[in-house]
Amino acid sequence: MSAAPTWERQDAVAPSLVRRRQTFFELLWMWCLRDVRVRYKQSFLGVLWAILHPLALMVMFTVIFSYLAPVPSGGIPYPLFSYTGVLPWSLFAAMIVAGVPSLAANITLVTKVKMPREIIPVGVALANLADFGVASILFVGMFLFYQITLSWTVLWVIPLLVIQTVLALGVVLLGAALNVIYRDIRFIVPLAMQLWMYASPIIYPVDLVPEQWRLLYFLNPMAATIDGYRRVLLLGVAPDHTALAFALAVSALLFVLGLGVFRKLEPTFADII
Amino acid sequence: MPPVIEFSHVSKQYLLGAGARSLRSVMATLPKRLLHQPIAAPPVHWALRDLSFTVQPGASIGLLGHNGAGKTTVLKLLSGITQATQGRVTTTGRVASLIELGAGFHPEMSGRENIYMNALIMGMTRREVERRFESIIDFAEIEQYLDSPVKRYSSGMYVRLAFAIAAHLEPDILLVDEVLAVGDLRFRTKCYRLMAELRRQGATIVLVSHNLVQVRDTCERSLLLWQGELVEDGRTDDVITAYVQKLQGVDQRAHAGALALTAEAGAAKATDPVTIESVCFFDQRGEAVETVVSGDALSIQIDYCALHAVQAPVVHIDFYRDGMIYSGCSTEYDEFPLQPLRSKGSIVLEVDSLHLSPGIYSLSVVIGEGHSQNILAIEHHTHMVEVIRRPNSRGEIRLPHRWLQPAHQLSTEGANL
Repeated sequence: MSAAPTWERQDAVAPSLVRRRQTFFELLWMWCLRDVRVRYKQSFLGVLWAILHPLALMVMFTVIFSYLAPVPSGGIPYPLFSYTGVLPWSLFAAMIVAGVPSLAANITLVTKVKMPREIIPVGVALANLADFGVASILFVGMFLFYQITLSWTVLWVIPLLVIQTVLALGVVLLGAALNVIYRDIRFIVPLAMQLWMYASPIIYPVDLVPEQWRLLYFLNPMAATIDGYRRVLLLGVAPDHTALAFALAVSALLFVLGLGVFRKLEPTFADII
Repeated sequence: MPPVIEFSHVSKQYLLGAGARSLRSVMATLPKRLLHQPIAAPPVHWALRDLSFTVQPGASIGLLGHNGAGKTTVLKLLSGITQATQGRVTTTGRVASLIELGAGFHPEMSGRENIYMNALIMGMTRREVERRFESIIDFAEIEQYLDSPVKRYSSGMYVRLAFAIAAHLEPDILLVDEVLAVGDLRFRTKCYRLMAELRRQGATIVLVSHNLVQVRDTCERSLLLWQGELVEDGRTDDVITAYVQKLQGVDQRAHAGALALTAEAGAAKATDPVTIESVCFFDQRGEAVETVVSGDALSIQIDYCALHAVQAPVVHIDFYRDGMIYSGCSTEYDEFPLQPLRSKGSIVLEVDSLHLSPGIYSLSVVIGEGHSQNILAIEHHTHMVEVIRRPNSRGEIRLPHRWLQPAHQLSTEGANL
């Protein structure tokens, strides 16, 4: 029988705030890694699924909106035009679709383990960034194929990604918390995401939206970000600053709201779930 | 010293059923809500009522109680998984809980990955895990399976790993819920040694177990919960005695209820040839007892009532513990010829020295005719007796023995050695 382990007892006092924050992010990181690893481990095609999904959407949209019912794409080859929208949208939608039911899917963790519960939906959502990264490789291939030259505006991609992620996390926190109480949320999500997609310039350009509706249209932060991606990647111009600032404000507001609702409901999760 | 755990007037209410706050019920009550009419209150269950106690650092507390008494709810409140409906729960320091072993494990991930994951979930930092990694796998004895997914682990390995991680959290409070029953004896011993070591370093342990011997060996103080209320708080031995009495009380009541029911059922039961009216325990002085010291004498008296004569009766009494027969006595096996049973009477089993290991035994009492398979009356698990450890005994039971010292060894050879 091995001897009982001995260790130095350093922090018998309550863990400090700094320490707690450090563990939070370490745990979040591990959670994402775990989610990514498990996802690819079990499926036959593994990483390929990450590309196949947006690729299929892009091909489908190209066939319909380039040949059957042509939609103007402002001189940009339609496959490139739609993939620029489909790729970030897939990330956004996947974050929400995976994140909202995540608490209800991890009942044992919620009812049997004390942990910062934000980790669960946020980690599950952020893990989709891996898929996004993989699917972006196809994008690089398309750029080479269509001989698009990138300008410095490509750096705008980073703030655009941040804005849409903040928005997604806000929706995920709100949805995941409400889904604990009302399981109906889970069924609403796929339909809502479908509607949201058509309310965003994925298959059509923003120009198609009548001028008088633009203000209302840009209430949707995804409208500004998707339009932004096209501008900075395909046209080499900066995004519409006003629309983007507006998108940032709406996203931040939703995030604060989502986190607030989550924190408010969190103490009751273990009892209700 | 300030207490490390403090419950002050804690009550916990659960909503029963899923319906209480579902969208459907919200919709259904919406008209009433809008008209400010009263809504029928959803059914609730008070899992705990007005619980108050404090625990000093370094103590080891046992939680006893029937299923549904609220033991797990206490642990969940302590760990912060759920919040009290009323009152206040205060804990000081790091709490590690083993409420469900490996609840944070992912079956597809390897032991190594799960160690990191679970330890981080419990509040360790990566660096802390790295520092204790060797010690954890050493304790869990899973070195060669470290990179296999935990879904391939045996339940023993699973428990060992989960326990090892929780114990290495350096908890100030360790909550253990009925989990060590899974491991083998060697591992359990190890766990107790580790818990003792944690206590030596000042940690507090709260243990829930149905194994009363385990609680007695680990905890000097225990709390008895009964239907959500704290009914006993004191030395473990006293609390266990109170618990056993309460259990027996319940069984007698259930039994009385059953009798009343059979009386109502009337004719069919009245034709039963023989019924067992009571089963009583007596010590060597002839006093009625509910507990007996292991190795002492015990008499069991069965009072029967026979409507029809039973010509060739057989009786046997079995001692059950944890669902297993530990011992039993049968007039059939002993070839003891019982006289025919008529009207009322009693049969007594005298055990000179009851060499059963300490624990609570439930009895199965059977009266049959001709052979024991032909059962006329049976009392299954309705009577209980507690066997307690003999003072100054080594181990579980004391063997009947005597010491000798033959004279020749002393005188010559023994002295030369």
